[in-house]
Amino acid sequence: MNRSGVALLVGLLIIGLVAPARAFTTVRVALQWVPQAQFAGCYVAFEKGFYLSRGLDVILLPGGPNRDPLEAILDGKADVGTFFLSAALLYRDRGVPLVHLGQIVRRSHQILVAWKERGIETPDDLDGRPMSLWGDAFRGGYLALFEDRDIRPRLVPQHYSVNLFRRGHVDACSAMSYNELHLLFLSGIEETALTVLDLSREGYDFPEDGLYALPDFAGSRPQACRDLLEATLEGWRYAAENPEEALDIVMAYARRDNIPTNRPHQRWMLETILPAILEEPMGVLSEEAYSHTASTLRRVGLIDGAPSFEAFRGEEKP
Amino acid sequence: MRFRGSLAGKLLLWGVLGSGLVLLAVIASGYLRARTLLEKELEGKAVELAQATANRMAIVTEAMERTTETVADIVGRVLLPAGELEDLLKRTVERNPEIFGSALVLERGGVLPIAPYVYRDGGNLSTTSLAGEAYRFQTQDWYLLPRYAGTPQWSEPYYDEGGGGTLMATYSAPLCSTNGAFIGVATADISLRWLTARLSSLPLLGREGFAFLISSQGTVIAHPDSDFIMNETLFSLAATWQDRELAALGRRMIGGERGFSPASLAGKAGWLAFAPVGDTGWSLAAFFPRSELLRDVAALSRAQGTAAFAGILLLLAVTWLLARSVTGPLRALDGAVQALAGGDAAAPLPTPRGDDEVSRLTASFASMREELESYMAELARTARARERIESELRIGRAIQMSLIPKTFPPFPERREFALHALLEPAREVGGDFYDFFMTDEDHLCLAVGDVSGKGVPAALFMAVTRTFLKALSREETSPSRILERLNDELAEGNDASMFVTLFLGVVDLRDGRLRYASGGHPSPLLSRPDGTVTALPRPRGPLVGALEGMTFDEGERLLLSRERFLAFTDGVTEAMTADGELFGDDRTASALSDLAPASCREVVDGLRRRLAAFTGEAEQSDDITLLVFEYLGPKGKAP
Repeated sequence: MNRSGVALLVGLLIIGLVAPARAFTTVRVALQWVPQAQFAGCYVAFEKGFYLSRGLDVILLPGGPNRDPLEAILDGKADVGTFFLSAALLYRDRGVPLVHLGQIVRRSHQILVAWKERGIETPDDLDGRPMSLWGDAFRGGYLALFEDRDIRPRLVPQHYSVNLFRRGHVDACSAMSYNELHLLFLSGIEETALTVLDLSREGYDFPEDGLYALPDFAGSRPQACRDLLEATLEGWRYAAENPEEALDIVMAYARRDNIPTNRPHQRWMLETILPAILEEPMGVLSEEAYSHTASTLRRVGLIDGAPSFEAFRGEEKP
Repeated sequence: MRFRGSLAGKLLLWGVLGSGLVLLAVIASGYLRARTLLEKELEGKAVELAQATANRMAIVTEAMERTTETVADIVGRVLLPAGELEDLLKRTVERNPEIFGSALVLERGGVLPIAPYVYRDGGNLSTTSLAGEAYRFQTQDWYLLPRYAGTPQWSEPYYDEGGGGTLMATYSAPLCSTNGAFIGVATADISLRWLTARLSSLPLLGREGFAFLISSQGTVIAHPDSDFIMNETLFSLAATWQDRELAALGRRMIGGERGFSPASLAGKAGWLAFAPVGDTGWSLAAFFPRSELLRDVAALSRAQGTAAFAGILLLLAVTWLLARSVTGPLRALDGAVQALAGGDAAAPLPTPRGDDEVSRLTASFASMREELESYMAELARTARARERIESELRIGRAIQMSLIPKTFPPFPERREFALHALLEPAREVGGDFYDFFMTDEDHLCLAVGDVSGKGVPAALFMAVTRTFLKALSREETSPSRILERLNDELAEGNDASMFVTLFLGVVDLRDGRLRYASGGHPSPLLSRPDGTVTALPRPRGPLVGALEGMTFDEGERLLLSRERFLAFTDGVTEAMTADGELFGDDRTASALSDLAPASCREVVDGLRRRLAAFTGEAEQSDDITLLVFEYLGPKGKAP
């Protein structure tokens, strides 16, 4: 650029004809687990610029065994987190005033997997049998099932793997249909060897991933919260239409973070989770599902009480 | 030259196709045989190699397992202070180069758990504690698996973030107090990088072959392609490559089997030999690409193929030359024969060379052409002769037909009788004739005859007979006398030895008296108005004109009013169907009887129709002559 050009630019700046850089709102989003197709919509929205185009400077913070999104929010390291509805209700019950911003996954993918050869065909067969089960944030549906059927499996803690079950040291385990079930298949188990009980079919269809923030953030940046949800849903729609591209994006993030996974597994995950996200009305938590989830968790003693639907969504002061 | 239709084309096509197929089959079977042999040889060696390699890995893993269990045993039995636990771990890692790191978790009732961990960090050993909030060992498989399984376990490969910071697999044994209660775990880690380096340093498998290791759950633990390690399982790879056979093979491998099988990895075909690694549950697999193993065989097959191709080209050339030497003369012959067929009988035939089939064929054609030529000349001669005969026959018929009276009724002014006759010659001309004429006012002479022979001579003999007959009947009134004189006249100077059979009758129209004589002729039939038919008695008499000086008897019969007689030649009674059945006397008589009420003309026409109906399609074999005379009564009397 020559001298006269510089002079012109300076002049324009002075008289304000050059528009100031657009003001972006920074939103730090803590995802509840490592990069995988469960969050494909977020990664796709980020990569395709759906956040930027709404004026959001989103920073995606992957979760993992040692990175809890709730801690990140409480420590002020994240503004928004993704949680299962049951987890969010649990945290609220423990005094964390999370506000629901939008519902990404509208149905449950929780299943119970058991060895067929050990004679388990129905939930009743689990009575007295060893079974590994997730922690409080993910066990509400299972506990309700056991209580309603009056069965008492011998429970063993289950965390990030189902290997105790895979190696036959327990008869059953909790699993996500989009994740652990397929990992079992990828470890050489044939579908016919397993009994799969679908919690949603048993009447415990709890919505899963939703967007949450503390009331400070939710109250001060309502537009950003709405835009975040919209952009994320746009990301999901794009992923549904371009699954291979979405898988490319997810796999790139998984490789970046040294997450051990493979493309067939991520494809399975994306294909399995998509219907529960694309279901209309997208992004909306129904009051009925909310009440059902809350009352069930209270019934099995995981929570003492739940806020009203409006309070949960931050529409009235709690 | 049309390739497909021609003989040369067929020879080339089938010769080359046939020999090509044979060569191809030979090469293919040789290749397959060599491949089978090699595969068989490989199978034994490969499984042995895989097992040997697995055993070398097992030496390492078993050492780790024993060490870990020893540590667990000591720590479970002896209550050591924390510092000595660390020292124990340090010594363990130091003395066992295969161990990347080692940890202890101790949870004694009522005390916070302690979890010291010693691991290699560059060339040094580092120590850390895994008991902090940040690591949460309680969620890790290496802790959970031995705790809830109650037995030592190899973990799946994992990336130990916050621990060793590397890809590893961990062997962990539960710690049990003296009373058997679970009080923690002792672990030893093996670095996957170390494992892979170890694996690739083993003497193996040619240039392209490689070995890899999978866990009891199919996860890739060690592999030349580091991207596969931990990320993929044999089953996810099978899914990516859409290879169900690989998945089935994977199930055999994680089932602890030892084996050998054809397999393809990432689309590369080859063989996989696999064997279990000690008690780890892992499986070591060695892959032998087919391309490398079969390189020599393939090269041999290619060389054979090239030679075969050259051979076929040579065969092609030879076949072509041969085909040309055969089909050249054949084509020349073909051209000559075409010309011959087109009418050019003088078309030159190719000169036969040598003594092969083609030259013999040419010679045969030449002689056939000569025979054809002479036959055609003969045919032309015959045609001319036949034409001459036919014209003679036509002339004879013209003469014959011109001689006999053909106007009916012949004497319209005479009321005493009715008369009708017919002569129908067979083919062109015959020897039959009839005649009638008035010899004076009251006598009618009737004659029916059959001259021997045919054609012009017969017609002329008949003309002579008729002329004599007419002349003699004016001089004589007795029929027998007329025949005697006719016989003498005809017999005299009859060089051709011709003769005639003859019926001669003279009717006195005043009273109906019929006098008659017969020269070897069939007797006429007499018919009454009531339908009764009888043959006229036949007077003795020989053939007329054969010998001189013969005598003839005479018959006489008084015809009543409306009586009639039919004179005929043997062409009537001997008329034949196609099957050779004769019309006969009886049919003639019954026809005449049936026709009793009809007129003379109707009798003649009716008989002729019956004859035609009887013979059907059969050709008329002899002349047919019919003559019917009916006496109506004396002159002036009403009929």
